[in-house]
Amino acid sequence: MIRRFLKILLFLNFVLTLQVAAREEVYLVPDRTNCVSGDTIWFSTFIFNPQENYRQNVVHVQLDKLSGAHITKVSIACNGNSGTGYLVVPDSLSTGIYVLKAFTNIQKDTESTVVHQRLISVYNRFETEIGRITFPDTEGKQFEKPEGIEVRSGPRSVVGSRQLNFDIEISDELRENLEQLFVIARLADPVSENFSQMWIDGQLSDESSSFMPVREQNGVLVTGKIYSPIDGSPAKGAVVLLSISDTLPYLDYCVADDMGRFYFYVRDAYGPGSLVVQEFTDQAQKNKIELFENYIETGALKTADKIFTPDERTYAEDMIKAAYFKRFFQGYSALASDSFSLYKSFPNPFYGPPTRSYYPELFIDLPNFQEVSREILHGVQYRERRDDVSIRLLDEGTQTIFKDEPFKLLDGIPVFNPGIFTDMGTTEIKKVDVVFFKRFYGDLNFDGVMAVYRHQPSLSWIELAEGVELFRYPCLQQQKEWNFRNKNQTTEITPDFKKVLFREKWNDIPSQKSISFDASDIEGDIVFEIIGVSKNHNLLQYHRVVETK
Amino acid sequence: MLHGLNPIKSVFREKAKKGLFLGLLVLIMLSVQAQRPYNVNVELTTESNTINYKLPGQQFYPIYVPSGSEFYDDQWMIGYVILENEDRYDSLMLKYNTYRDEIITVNDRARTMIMLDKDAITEFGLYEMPGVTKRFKKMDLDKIPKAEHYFNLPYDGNLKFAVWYRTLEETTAPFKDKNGYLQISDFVLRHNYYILFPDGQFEKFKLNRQSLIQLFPDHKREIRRMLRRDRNWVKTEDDAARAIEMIEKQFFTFSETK
Repeated sequence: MIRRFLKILLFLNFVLTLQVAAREEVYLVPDRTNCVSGDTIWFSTFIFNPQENYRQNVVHVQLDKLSGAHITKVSIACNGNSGTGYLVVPDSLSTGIYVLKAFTNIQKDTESTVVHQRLISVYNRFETEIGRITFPDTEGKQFEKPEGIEVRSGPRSVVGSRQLNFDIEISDELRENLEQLFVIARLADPVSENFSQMWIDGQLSDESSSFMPVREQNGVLVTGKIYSPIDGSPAKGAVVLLSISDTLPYLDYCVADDMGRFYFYVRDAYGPGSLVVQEFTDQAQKNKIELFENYIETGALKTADKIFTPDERTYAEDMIKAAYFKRFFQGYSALASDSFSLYKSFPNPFYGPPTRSYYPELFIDLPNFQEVSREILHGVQYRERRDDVSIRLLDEGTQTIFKDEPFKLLDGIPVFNPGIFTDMGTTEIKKVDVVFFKRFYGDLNFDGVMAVYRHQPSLSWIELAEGVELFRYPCLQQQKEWNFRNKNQTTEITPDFKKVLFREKWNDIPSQKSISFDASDIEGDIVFEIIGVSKNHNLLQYHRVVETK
Repeated sequence: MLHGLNPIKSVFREKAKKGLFLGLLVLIMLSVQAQRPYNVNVELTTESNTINYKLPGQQFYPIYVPSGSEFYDDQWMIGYVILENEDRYDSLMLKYNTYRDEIITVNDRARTMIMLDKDAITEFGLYEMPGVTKRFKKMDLDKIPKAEHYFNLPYDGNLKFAVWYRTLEETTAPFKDKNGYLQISDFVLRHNYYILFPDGQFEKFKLNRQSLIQLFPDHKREIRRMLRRDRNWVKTEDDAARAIEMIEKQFFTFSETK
């Protein structure tokens, strides 16, 4: 009996081990452990999954307060298991310690997911005196220090030169074991040095669970809910449309589940997109739509108040002054992240190749859509009766007129009120695409399609349209050059206040490499952080503080 | 007692009222239906949801075929479709229309035949029997009729053996169709055999040894000897696929283009 019980226990242990082994792990390596509000944190991520290997993966990186409140987030597309990106710290963020968290959407479905959090100290650039800070009162873990990495200071190139030279030596045994190496050199901050090597494990809470646990490979999953504006009850079965106004219109639909939730997988979209979400309905009373924020919850960290030592206070105040002078001398150049692009996989829009395309500007000036349809748009029947407007298209499949309204688009956004076209004449309309066939898009079907494109597309009409919601949604982050070597380009009288001096990702790991970069005008020691990703998916962390004279 | 009302007339008047009411109701219903902003035939459920790009297409209207067929196979076959963005749909009911060179599927929810947009599809396959899949890949034919066509690929290596199934409407001697009308056309499925060379050039050939050998003027003798040893007379598609594989191994292994 006891033997049988032991066997069951052993089997359960084996199953549990397998489950743990199958767990996906995401690690984040920021290039700095302190910054001033308004700075940009560059980071790299690694995904370790013992069972699956994907060509592409999307990792979300969020910045939270120690209490768990969310501040900002970016989503990056990784090539395989590793990726790089950046996160702009809001200018108004108050001084304190903050938490960086990285996760994949698939992790949200696993209860045992552990989030490996990193800490970063932020100094508000408008604060003049810093004496006290809320500090995390928790033990973190550190990774194994690799044997076989040496960083040696090289000689200065010229006496008085700003250029610093270092030699990095890596043993052959270690090189054979490594897949990638990230080399970072930065100024040592007396505050954040306390936790710069620390990884704090956080358990994913139930609130984070994803109702659509799909592997995001080259896109982001946009989720939301639709509900009645009267009693807030979920609009089960409502058909929700997502559209993005672009050169080739983008359309997707989703039928809301029992809880009114819907999802869209927006692929190959980079930058903040203007997503138009609306219900596909003829009901006068429109349901309310809202999108979920894609953050994870790991709970608050235990904290304790800490009074700054004189050294720490001096450093923090120097940082703030440096940020002020940097803006004074060099101005503020934000990374261009406002542009939106959507890569096309298909040569035609979702409504297929148009049966006819009309360019009204090539014709005589006509003042309104009735005249345009009558004179130019053959096969389009536009009727105005008192306040009522209707549009019907020719069905070339049966050589009759369609019974119902066609699917109408204005600059790529679906519109259900045909009256919106009434005042549009030849000077305003650039192109009209019409499809004189019954079209299908998945399970949706339309009695023909009429897409009107204007010379100056605008989404301003959405504000007046009931039931149409416009969301500015951050899609994937545009890739930027990640590697960096500080080279002081400015004249001698302009100071250099860089905090990160060297940042490179090596896929071909050399046995010996000499690196050089210019020193910063902020005085302090230099920290070398070398993170190695081993072939058997372990992290190795080399950390060394080099005193500068 | 009611005065001046015949009971029969009264019943008739009641019926007329009901009829009028029903007629009005129908008219109101029709006018309400005519104002619908879009077409809803079927109530959609969450089964319609997918993270794939939705299958785009238009309603398919079959033509009247007096003799023969416009399809590769008149029976619906289960198969798969791969879109240009590599999204895959499996277990679809498919018919390959070899007359229009288009793939037709049936939408269970809308209960309609849909002709899928060719520009959105990169490949489809038909499960002919358990374990046997006929794979069709969209390729750009550089010969007349120049366009993108679906080709079956019995051999897909550096050299490709591509078969284009094409149904042609051919004139025949007059005959009476099943409805008793006089017809003069017959829909005939023709098989066009091509070799696709690594440089993207198509060369047409017939199913015989000589026609195949003619495509390789520099290696005529060696290929003839090779096929003779293999006792391959290039009479069937399988023979041709085997012959092309042998030719590729002998003469086209240097190229990395695939």
